[in-house]
Amino acid sequence: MALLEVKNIKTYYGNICALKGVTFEVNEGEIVCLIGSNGAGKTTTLKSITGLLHPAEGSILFNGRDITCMEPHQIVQEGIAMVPEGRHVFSKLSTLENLEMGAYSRKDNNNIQHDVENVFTLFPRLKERSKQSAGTLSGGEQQMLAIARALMAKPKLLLLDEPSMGLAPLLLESIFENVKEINAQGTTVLLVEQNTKLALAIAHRGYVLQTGEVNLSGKTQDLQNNELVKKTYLGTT
Amino acid sequence: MEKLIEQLINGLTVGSFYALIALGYTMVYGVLSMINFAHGDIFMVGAYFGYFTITQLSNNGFSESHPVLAIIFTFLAGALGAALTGVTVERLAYRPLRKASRLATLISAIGTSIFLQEFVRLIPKFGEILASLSIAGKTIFPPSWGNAIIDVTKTFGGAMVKTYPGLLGTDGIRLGEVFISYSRILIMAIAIVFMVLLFILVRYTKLGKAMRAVSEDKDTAALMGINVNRIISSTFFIGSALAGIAGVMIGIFYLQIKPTMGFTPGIKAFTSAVVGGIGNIPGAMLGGYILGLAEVISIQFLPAVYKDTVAFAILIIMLIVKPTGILGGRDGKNKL
Repeated sequence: MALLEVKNIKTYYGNICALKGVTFEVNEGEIVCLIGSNGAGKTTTLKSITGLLHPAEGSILFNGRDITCMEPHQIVQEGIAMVPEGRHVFSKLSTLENLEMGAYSRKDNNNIQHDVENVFTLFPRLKERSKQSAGTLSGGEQQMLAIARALMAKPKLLLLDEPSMGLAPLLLESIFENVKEINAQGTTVLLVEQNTKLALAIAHRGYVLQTGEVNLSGKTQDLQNNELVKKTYLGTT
Repeated sequence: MEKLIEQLINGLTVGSFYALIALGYTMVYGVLSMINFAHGDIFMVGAYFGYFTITQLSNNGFSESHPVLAIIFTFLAGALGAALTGVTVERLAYRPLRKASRLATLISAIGTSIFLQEFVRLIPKFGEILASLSIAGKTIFPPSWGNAIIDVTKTFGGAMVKTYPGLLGTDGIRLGEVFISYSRILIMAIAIVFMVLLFILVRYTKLGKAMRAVSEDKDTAALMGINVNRIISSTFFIGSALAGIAGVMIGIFYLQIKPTMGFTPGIKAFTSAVVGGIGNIPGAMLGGYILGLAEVISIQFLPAVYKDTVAFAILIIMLIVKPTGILGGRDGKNKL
């Protein structure tokens, strides 16, 4: 049984159908990427998983439990944490307070301090900035904070929405290294990315979304060699 | 000189009312970006809950034997009554409209304001109707219950002005030539204590941090596992409780309460919140005291009837010069 099973979900914005039946699964321990161009439905898919949007049809199973109709705060407790597109750190809260908010739903208060130290080991820059309000952090630091904040929930599944957005190339690689490290420590990752090359470089498997449907899927090596992917998303021939 | 100091103390007293009420406006605006125009009436409801409690306590002699406890109970009743009213109003009148246009919520708020005033005014009528409800010629409630219901509802509400028992009398302390009544001291002290408590709550507790997170970004807050609706309810609870405390203070200080009493202080407190920077908690406190002091100072130079004019002139000048308020952010997006 897969950790996350998305079965034929259809999600609407008012009358506009953004997802026309998306099906995919994520197995425990994997990094899976969803790639596709603007408006393909990548973010809508993540919002449907986290409960910010509710699919009109289809179902989403996590760890065997149906989470399709749950509210976002309940889904976090099930073990899914999200790094939203555009980072969305709480700019008026300090770095440390942002991390505390990430751990909001946890009951084991005693271990939180220990986990703060853990994410500081992963992102030493954040430790230096712990008292600063998050709005004053640089874009890269905010991205680190958004990832660290999601990790504070101790998720089984981490959703990343466009972590590469607006980052300098050098920083990009280090962020993607971090994602690999997080995965190696046992967190399953679902990555949504427009930077297809980088996404395929770290993921195990991938799905290609096009106008609200999955039209291609497979191991990343296969996708890298696929003519359509090469032409449309990698820009190589 | 003595006259001036007394006037300043008067300004601080009035400012305490405004500041406490303004906090409710500002907190609700901070988390929902809406003006709760029923907030002045929630303050009124708090005054009525306090009135009901203190009359019961003085009828059975409790307030004579335990005056301090009686005052504490009165404030508790006013705060709780107002808080529950505020939470109910949010649940029934605002939450269903959360995704609707701002205008819809605004109209709902004005409707709620009228509803609360009329409800308090008509409570004795409801009592009579309830007591006379009958099935097949027999009243549902036995006559003794019926009388109790009529009694309680008559004490609680009604169109007539109600008079708080003078809890603190007119005594006070004299510092040289300056006289400060105990009621003023109590009002200023309670206001400051609750403002400090609120500041600590918002700044340092988990609930306060969650309120700030919700204030900034509801969707992301939900993704952290924060139950956004519960945080919004808590915000209404706390803001309304502060208004209820202010309502009891007005009762203790001016002794008279009536169903329409919420309007003017409500609008003045709203002005205070805007002057301080709506959405900003220290701003609401500052704005309240500025307005209170401006009013008493204006009385020194202008006929007393102009004090409302002065208050609203300050609002207009502020809106022209710095629309985001004294402590407001530059982008006008003030957050708790």
